[in-house]
Amino acid sequence: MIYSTYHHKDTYEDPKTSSVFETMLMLPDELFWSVLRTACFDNENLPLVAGQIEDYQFWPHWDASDTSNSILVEPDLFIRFQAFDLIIEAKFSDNSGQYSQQWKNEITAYSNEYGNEKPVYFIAVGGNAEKATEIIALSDGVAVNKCTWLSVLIQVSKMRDEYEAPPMIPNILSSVLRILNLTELAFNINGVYNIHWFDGIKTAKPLISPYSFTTFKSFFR
Amino acid sequence: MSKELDNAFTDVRNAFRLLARYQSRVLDIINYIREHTPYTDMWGVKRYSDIIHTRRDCPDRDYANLSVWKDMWSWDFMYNYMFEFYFGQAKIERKTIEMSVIQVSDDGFYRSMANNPSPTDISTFLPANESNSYLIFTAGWNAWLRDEVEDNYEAFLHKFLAQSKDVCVYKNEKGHWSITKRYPMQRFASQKEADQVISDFGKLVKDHAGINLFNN
Repeated sequence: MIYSTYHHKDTYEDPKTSSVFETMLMLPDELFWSVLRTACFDNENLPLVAGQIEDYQFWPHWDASDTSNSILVEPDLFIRFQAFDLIIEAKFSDNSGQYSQQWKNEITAYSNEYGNEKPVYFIAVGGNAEKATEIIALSDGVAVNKCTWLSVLIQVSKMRDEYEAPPMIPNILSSVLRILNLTELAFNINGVYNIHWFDGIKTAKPLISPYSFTTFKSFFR
Repeated sequence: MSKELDNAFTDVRNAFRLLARYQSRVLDIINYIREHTPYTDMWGVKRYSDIIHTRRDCPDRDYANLSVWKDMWSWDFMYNYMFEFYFGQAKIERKTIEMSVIQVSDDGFYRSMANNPSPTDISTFLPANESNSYLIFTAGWNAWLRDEVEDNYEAFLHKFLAQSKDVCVYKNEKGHWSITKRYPMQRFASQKEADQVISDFGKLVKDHAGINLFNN
């Protein structure tokens, strides 16, 4: 919560966005993008390679011309990769809170600031009732890809498990492992858990046959 | 060898594999519950049967003393049949409060209809499809796992699991209290449902003891 504290934003999704993304941003650039890209439900339109992270800003203030905002437009996180720019809009809950007018405003305000020198992508984290990618009807038709906090956490945990698997972990990877564990903790303290609940052992019919009991009784008295 | 016996051992292997998946979930859930409390430690107590432990006269620290020939129960080898996760003590609103969650994988013995049910004879248990599995939540201030009559933990648990009422609130004249409620394991099917259980037990403790057991 370093960035949200620094920006005096301690309500709603802001501490969550801050703690999760500031820890994730410590990952090597290609791993950061791989986690985020894979966490999106439809991700075919997202490039596989993003290149270096050149800059990032939490809650940048953008020119509100031609938007429905009067003073400024403030996306949650803006990341400039070598190959493209990325706008991230996050909502606290996983199921509601995103709305297309806000996406339109942010995409228009991005053009006000940066023109069309680079491709731009938009990821809506949490807050979506509908998980399919939406195309925003502006002149350049930017796609809004969607993921949930949980789908990002699942990718973080998956990557952590992969990094834990080899018997010998080189020093460089042990730092990645620490960052992944810290990111998981950032999710947990904000109420997002990737744990197995009893739902996962549902079964259509009991697995163990009652006959086995009688068999054991007759063979081993 | 007979096909029946092959099938029986297939079931044994499946039973262990199912138990491994089940127990990893129980551990996740217990940890999730504890993370919603002020408690930061955890201790375990095996209930229902004895533990397997080393003694000073054992040949090696890794070897435990066994009396398999006569008085050792098969349950002694099964830690997760009934197991208490004790979170210890925490100062909450200037009172030292203890809390545990007890895993009850099967209440079939406690709810047996047999005349003389035996903890080692599963044929005297209530059938598995009529029995239940629970997580018991319990908390107390200077009183622990008890009611008005029963102050022995084991006897109280036996009585509590045998009765149809799923909640027990004990409070004495000094204001000391022990609050216990059991929740079917099915209520921990998802995070949303687990949160409902946590808030239910939190409200129970708040209503009767006036303290907030869980973090917001």
